[in-house]
Amino acid sequence: MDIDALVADAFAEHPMDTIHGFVEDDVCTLYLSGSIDMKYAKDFQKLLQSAIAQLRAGSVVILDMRHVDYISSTGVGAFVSGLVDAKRRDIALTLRDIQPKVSAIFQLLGFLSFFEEAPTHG
Amino acid sequence: MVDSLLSRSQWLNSSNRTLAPLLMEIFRIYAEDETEKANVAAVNEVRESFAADAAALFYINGKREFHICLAGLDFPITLDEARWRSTIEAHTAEDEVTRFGPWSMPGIEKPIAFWISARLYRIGNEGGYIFLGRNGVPWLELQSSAVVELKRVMAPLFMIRHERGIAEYSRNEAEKRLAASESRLRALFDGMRDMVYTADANDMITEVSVSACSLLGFASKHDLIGRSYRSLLATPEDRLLFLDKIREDGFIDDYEVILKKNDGESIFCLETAHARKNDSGGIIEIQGIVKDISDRIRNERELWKMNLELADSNLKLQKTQQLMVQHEKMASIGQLAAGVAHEINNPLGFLISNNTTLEKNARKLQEAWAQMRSLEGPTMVGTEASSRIEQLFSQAFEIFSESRDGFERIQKIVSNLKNFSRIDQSLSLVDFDVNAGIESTLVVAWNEIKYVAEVHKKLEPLPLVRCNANEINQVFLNIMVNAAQAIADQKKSEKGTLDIKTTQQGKSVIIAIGDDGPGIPEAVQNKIFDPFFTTKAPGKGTGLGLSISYDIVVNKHGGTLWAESSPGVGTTFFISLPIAGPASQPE
Repeated sequence: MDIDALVADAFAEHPMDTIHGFVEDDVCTLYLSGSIDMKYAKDFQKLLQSAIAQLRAGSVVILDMRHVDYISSTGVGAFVSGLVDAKRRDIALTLRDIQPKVSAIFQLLGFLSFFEEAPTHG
Repeated sequence: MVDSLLSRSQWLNSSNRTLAPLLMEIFRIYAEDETEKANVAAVNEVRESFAADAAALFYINGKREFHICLAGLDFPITLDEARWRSTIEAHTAEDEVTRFGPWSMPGIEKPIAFWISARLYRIGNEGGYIFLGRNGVPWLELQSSAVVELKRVMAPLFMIRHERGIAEYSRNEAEKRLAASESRLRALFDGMRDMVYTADANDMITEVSVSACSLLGFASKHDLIGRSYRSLLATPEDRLLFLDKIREDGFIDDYEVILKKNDGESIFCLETAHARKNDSGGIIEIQGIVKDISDRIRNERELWKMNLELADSNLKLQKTQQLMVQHEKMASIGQLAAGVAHEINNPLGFLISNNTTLEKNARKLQEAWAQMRSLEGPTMVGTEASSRIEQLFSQAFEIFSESRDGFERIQKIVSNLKNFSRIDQSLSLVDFDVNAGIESTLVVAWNEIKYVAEVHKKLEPLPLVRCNANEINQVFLNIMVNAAQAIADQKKSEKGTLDIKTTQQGKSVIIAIGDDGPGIPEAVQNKIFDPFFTTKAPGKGTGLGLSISYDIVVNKHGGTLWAESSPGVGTTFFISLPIAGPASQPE
């Protein structure tokens, strides 16, 4: 899977060169960054959707969130939508290194428990 | 009254009388009274001095009203602009004194025979006019000259008054407009259902709409003015990001903020704001509108949750269905194997019996041949026929021996197949010899194992374990086949090793089945017992084997199933079964 191509396609309207990732042993790691707000939520959703569509059932998607400094409810919605897609394909969606203020929004909306949280990565 | 009539008559008939007293009186009137009433007094004086039956001043006052001030009336009459202008246009000339009549002045019904009129001044297309009317004798040149003289004196006075009126009018209008505009803006500000606020360069709230009080649960907007905006946020550090953006772009659209109400409740809002900046680009003021979108979020959240739950339920349903199918399939295969074994058992029985009888008969035949040969004497010995018969006997006994071996092997396989999946025991718990189970499973799995691995067994004597033998054999089979496939996947030239150990540990027996395959990647180690998780190539594994094994060992037998794996070294699965059987499992 060519993550760079997926990112370029998903963020065609709002080019984003800070998002990258890789796939290894059925584990797809995506390093997200920036503000997942109303403007970008759809792009993030598209990225998740295309990545999930290309993975095998039973794969794991790790979303590295350390560089995401803001998320709106629409952004959380994009993640939830990704989670629904993932569940349909039996793929686990895991959040890693999520900043407390971002995690607080997931918590406030009542969705943090739906996601798996991966331990901090170096 | 008589004096007045007399002096008017004298004035009318005298060419040497001056306008001086009238003009003096007019100066006095206008000096003493700055209001419109001065016009009333002045026009009365003019009528009297000219001995006119009617006198009128046409002018536009400071309120932009088109007035006629008629001698004899206490207040001016207001005409609509069109009528006022049409009267003027019809009865005055540019710079001359105009005479006309008979004519009825607006406001006086009775027509008057002779009129004289003149424009007193003109500013733009506006001006002031004087009209004098009388009956009896037409106006003479003498009175025309007097009107011209009067015009000369009154024009500056009227003009000044007119200009001042216009200025005053403009100021009043501007003030009114300003007041109206401010009141409109204030009404807009206070009437907004969304919260509107302004904050200074330090992000302290300087003004806020009344709606903010109901939104945030404060009694008065003064509880909010003077507070820092960020103190209203559920996550105050978000404001830094907001300020960075507004500093950079000058505005921010639809930025989601979570405000904290006075009672601590969080509300989701959408903020649109812009910054007023000074010449050097520094922020002077932030002006923003904050809209409560909590209801929308609540609805969306419900929808998302429902979608998630639906996806969860679908997945569970799908997995349960496939699990049941697989369970059923495995049980059927076991039953089929047992059935086939049972069917083979009968023909095998008479084949073995026939073989034994045949061998016995052959031995008897051999004995008979020996007797016959001894009776015939030495002539038979060494002949070709005799040698051939000896050879056939020898071959036949080899065949019997091989057949016996073959039959024994078939018997063992059949017995193991029957043991592996015993129809009569498929639903119940039995006292099971785990080591025998391992042996019989090895027979069943042998075809998968024999080309890829050497099997090392270390089976310690064990007590019988209360369990469902069929299911436990299935678990052994799953794990052994997985191990063999993992070893095979490495495609090594040498065979791998399958280590099988059993031991008793307290009230449990432990079965360890280990391989020296590639191991399980660390990231997926906690997923291997999940239904449908597989690392095998598509089509090679269902991802259900370990999941079913887990269900059998843990849920049905109250045991434990776990794996220890080192990538590159191998994997060992451990099965721990309580000897006494599952406590709550009905027999």
